[in-house]
Amino acid sequence: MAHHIIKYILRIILLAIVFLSIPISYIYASESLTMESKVKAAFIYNFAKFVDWPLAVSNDTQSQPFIIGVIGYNPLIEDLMSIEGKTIKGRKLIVRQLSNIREMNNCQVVYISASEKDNLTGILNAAKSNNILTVSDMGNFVENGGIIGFVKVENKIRFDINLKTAGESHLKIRSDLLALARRIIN
Amino acid sequence: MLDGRFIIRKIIKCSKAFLIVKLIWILLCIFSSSLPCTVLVGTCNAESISSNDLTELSIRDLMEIEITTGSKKSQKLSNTAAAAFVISQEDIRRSGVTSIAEALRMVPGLEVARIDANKWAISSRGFNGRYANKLLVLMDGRSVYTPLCSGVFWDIQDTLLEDIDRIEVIRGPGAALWGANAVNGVINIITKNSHDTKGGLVSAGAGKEERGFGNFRFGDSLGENATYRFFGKYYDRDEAKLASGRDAADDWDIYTYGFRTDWNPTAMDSVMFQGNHYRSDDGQTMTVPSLSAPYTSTFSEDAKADGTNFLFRWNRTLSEKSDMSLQIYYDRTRQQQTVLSDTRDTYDFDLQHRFFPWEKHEVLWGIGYRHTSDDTKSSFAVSVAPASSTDELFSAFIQNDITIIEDYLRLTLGAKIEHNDYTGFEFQPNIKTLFTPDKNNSLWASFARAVRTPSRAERDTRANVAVIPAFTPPNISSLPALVSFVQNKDFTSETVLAYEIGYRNQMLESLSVDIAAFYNKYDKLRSNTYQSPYIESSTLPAHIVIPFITSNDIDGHNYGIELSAEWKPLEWWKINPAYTYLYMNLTSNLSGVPSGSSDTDIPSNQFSLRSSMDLPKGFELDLWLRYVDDLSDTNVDGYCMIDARLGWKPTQNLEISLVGQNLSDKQHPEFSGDYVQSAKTEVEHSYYLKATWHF
Repeated sequence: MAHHIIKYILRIILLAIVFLSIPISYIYASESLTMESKVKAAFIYNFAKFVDWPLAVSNDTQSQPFIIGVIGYNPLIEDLMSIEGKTIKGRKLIVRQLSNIREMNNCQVVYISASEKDNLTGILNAAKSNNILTVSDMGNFVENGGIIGFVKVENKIRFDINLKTAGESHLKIRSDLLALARRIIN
Repeated sequence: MLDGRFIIRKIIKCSKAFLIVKLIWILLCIFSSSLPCTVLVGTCNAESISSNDLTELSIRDLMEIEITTGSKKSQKLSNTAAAAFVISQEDIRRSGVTSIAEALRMVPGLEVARIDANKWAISSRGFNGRYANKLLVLMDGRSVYTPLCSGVFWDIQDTLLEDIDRIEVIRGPGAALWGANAVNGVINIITKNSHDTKGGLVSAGAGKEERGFGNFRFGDSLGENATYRFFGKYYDRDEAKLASGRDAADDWDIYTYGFRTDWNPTAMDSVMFQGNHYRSDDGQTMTVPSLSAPYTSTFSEDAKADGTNFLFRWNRTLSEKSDMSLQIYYDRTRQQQTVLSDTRDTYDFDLQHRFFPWEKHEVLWGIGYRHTSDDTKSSFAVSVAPASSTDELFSAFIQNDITIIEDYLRLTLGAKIEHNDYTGFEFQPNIKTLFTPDKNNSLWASFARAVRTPSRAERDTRANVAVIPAFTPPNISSLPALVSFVQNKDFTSETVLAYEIGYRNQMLESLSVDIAAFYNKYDKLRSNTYQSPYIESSTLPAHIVIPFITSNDIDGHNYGIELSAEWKPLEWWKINPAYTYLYMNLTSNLSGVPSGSSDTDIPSNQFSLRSSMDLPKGFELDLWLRYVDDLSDTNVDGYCMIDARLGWKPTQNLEISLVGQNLSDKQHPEFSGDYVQSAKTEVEHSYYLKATWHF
């Protein structure tokens, strides 16, 4: 008898938890996701190989550095910094921490930290007019007009691509890269 | 550079704690002379690995990098405070194995023994048997551990081997996360996301023991955000040999088919739905007692098994620092054989949520509910009463992963509380700590309590194992005597207190070593305790019953050490040695009263050495040597096995492989001793040729 009562109570608790769960606030951020940011940095480096930027007005772009900017604080910058000096499309890679939107102008790629979610519209508009490839791991990034958004699927990193924004930014994403994307938004 | 800055920052932040850590480290260095030099090698190595190497990888390779591992909570292997081992898809392919059970022979700490062509005894850290009950096994989160007799039927645990992403094996208790019965280990068989199995695959082969097999899979996109695959496979396997050299009647065949779809409706959600069906015919020869002359009957039959399961999982990222997953599955298994038939339906619900309530605290909690009911058909040899039973399992767990010193010291506290219909509430806590002095060294320790809960076999089942005819010593009466293992409604949970310690070292980029040692203290282990005989006339003819009642009269302990390493002496050559030592000491609480248990029968030493070579022109050569020590109580001699595989990829899409198994001897037994007397057979040498075509 006692057994049945216990089970009855457990059933009620179970249902209560299911229906009431999850509205918990998670303010603090921590945990250095070292490996994850390393892999993401390597992804960004690789993305650049599969994207064609519109030809610049001046012909000597080859001598200009290839600049990856990071907006907002993100541990990823340290991993990007460690590959500085490598070449992308024959250009020397430079990584910059950006402190405002105006500094984006010379960048070819901008990584937007999730902390910049509130400023996203402004950043994306500026990026579009400067032919910048935008990358981020914030939620709904590509839906909101970002070009490449990282997502974690079963412990592996996948990415979504917004082809519409890429077109509007005059960036050509090669089919090899598109084939590997998890979702493509047109 | 980065490390130095980081360390200075840490010293300023928490100099006291750091000093303690450093002190421990220095002490460790003194005790182990090898450590200081590896630290040096380690630090320069850490610089060279960094992300420089990752950028050399293609996007396709990057997509394969495991950020984390483990299903309840994901972690990198080197960051796990547990004796973990991962079998990768590549390991499975290169080993030439044709079943999940055989693949597990790679894992240190596990004992894999073939009882006959279609039955395996697989356990972790001792207690092996066909119904090895201290190892929990999950396929994509679905438990395949049967509550009928506590154990896993390995013949039917099948899927397309090419679609397995990895098999994660954790030795030692996993009960604080996975619940009861994860006493000495948990195995998670994880299949690939259907996004990673686009395209077709057809493979077929034939050989000596593998009479013929065929596999197919096809996967594609389903709209923009979803992918699917479906697969089917069929294996027809030859019988093994009896000790006399004659063919046994244990040939078998199995077909399995299924599908999996993965859908990402939004960037925050991923939904998975899969279904599988299998049907197998397993030949076996049974010997059961009978009350009239000749008092035993031996017959061969095809044991039939089939099953269907569906599993739905929804993962949602709630915020950057929080996610949840909901999993629901239905599983039906059916077994039909003369001694016992059983149909079981299981419904399982599981909810998990992970978040960071405070800085440096990562909390994972979850609740679960399982409803399982069965319907059995008894025989004289094995009778289950009541024939049907419905059991419910409620569970809740919480785990807090605390970063005490970032990148150096972590503490994980967790516990699971369950309520089952046999023993009521069970509390299974775990405390573990991980110390990572640098990127190349990690040291961990763990303490846990886990239980193995009673099953229908112990609570409701009587097994009649032998009849001693009248006037035949030791039976001096005029009635036949029936030896029975009798159920016990008071049989309670077996418990373990487990103390573990481990060390991982990435000495060089090409060499990593993993060592784990443990001491387990067991209480209330199952025994078959002799009781006074009595006369029974409910089944005619009247007979004397010599009952051995299932009880909890055995205590004991075991300890062991498990070593594994991976060494790449050359870019194209990989070597994986593994060694296991195990000691076991169990004692009965009732002196002078016989209580049977074959659990002490363990191979003290096991050794495995795998070599994988990538040769020019698309050739691959794999060799695998294993040694398993004697099982002295049951007179099974130690054996040495050599497997070899020669693979050839003439084009990107075609692979041809020739595999030889157990090449070192003609036949050998691997296991003996079990409750129900099915004929033990011996493993023969074998070879097969296989072709795989991707399109």
